[in-house]
Amino acid sequence: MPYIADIVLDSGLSYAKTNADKIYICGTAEPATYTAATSTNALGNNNFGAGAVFPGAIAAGSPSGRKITTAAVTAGSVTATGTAGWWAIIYSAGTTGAGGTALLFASSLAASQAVTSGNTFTLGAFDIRLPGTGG
Amino acid sequence: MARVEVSPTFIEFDGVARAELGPALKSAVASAETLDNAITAEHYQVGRHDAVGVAIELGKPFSYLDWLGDRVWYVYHFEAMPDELADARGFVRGTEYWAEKGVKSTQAEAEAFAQSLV
Repeated sequence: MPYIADIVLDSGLSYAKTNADKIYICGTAEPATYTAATSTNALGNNNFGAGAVFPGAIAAGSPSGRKITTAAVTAGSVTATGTAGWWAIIYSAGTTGAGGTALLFASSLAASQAVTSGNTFTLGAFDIRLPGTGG
Repeated sequence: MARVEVSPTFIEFDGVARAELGPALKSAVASAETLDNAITAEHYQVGRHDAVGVAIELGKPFSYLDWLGDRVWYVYHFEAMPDELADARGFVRGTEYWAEKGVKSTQAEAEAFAQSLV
């Protein structure tokens, strides 16, 4: 891996920090797109508003790179019944064009969890890290 | 027909069909090599679930989204959820959602297919 300046990684994280507005939980199928995350496979979401999904500053990652940390979800809305296996962070308020609406990040929950429509869900804060030199 | 380019990787037709770029769903036999984080995403690990919700076991096939490989185009249609799915998810029957209708290798194929759904 060649040398990567922090500002290069920070630029990507800054885009997400500025624009991410919602965290979704999704069913058993891993979301590959914005549409899958927000409709096809969606089981619930928490609308933080743009700029509030990642409330803190961009920081050093470990063992390398840079990271941002999500806000904890304390009362997300479960909108469908199912088994949640994935989370997705999205930018839903994009204007039409190159910087438009998009799935920004997605990965698996630490453990799958049955959820019921009408209930709420919680999710602890977690890091998104862009690795730098050294992985 | 209204074609809205939400972004270069996300195109919508008449508000009822979409073509969106994403990682391809693939399968492989689970091994130290295929589960290496340089080959597949780090969330694919023995004991955890694969991209379709099945537990990953060494020596057995698993499904994964190939975030490192060439992207494909997913095509969706906004339509009424099948009754059995609506019932399972706790929705009122007839609730509409974006149903995945197919996967295409190229944008041209995806746009043609999406337009055929309108």
